[in-house]
Amino acid sequence: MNEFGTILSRLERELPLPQPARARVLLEVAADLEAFFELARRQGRSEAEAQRLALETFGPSSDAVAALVDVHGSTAARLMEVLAGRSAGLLERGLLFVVAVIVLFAAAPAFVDTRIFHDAGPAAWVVSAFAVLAVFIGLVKIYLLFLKRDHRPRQLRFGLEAMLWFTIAPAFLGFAVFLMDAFDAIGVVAANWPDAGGLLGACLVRGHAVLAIALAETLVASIFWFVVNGRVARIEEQNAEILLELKGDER
Amino acid sequence: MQLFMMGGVFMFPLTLIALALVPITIRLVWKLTNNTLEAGRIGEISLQALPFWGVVSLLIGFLGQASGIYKGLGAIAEFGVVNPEAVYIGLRESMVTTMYGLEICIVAMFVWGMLRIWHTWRTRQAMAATA
Repeated sequence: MNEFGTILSRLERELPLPQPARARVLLEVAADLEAFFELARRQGRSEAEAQRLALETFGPSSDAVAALVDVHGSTAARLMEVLAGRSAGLLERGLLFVVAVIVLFAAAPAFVDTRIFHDAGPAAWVVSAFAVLAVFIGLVKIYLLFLKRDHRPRQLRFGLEAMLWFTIAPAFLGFAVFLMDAFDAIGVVAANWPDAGGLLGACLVRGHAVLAIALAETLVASIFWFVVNGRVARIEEQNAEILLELKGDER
Repeated sequence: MQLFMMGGVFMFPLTLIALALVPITIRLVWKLTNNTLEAGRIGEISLQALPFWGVVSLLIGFLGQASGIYKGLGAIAEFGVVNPEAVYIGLRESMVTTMYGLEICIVAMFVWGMLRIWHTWRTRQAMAATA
């Protein structure tokens, strides 16, 4: 596999991406090369021919690498890198756990009461549906990463981008509903000035209830996001270390 | 301390994050001061801890505000009469968590920006020296 090591070293130097995206592209290309090499060998080709075919298909000048650069350089990918592209240390993991417990403890009474959902109206269910989807993907990923231990490089980040959007969506929707309700409230109060107090309260209750639900659910989904991303980043770091060590041995 | 008590239970996680950002930043600076390029790359990745915790603080701050105002407005809607003092206290309490969350976020983002500029400058220096 000497040829692969040389190609990967060259690719690492030339990729127009910041870390850790560069390491990820490297891992994906390495996995593709290896998978194609194994396939060609199983088909009865010689080692040299299998290597040549793999390099022709997934070499650094191929469209596959260009596509990977596009994927890792996209807005969503950059957002993912900024929010949780790394593996967090023990201090941060501990901090997140304590923060999550306090926030859940503070928010729980309102949710147990369920009156907040009644006040929020149908918008709360739309907001909750996104959060539930994010948590569902999070649970599937936790099962795959922690229990089934499926650490295939190309599967590691599968679903994480969707999880990020489903995590952020409740917060944006919550703010949108809140602003619409605030706008309605101004109109109602202006038209009924003598009863402004009671009407203002009634109009703004829905917006604030939706916002509180949206933010609490975003925080819960964020915790799942943090756990899954941290695990994926740690696996990737370990894989990259192994890959670089192999490359060092080859040199 | 008085401001802290006004904010209610959401002030505890925000204060914890604010306190934890100090050792996190010190650790980041320590990582970034390592001169090798490889260590620099690790520091570059670790820098993302600051915007992450900034965003979490902001979310908790807004959650505190929404939750506080929801409770206050619920009481107004229920009784239909506005007690200006009660409204003032409710709004003041809910604003404290938002202000606190925003302050933590702004400080975290500012430190992140400064460290990024410093790190980029150092990396360029190290690359120029290597070349």
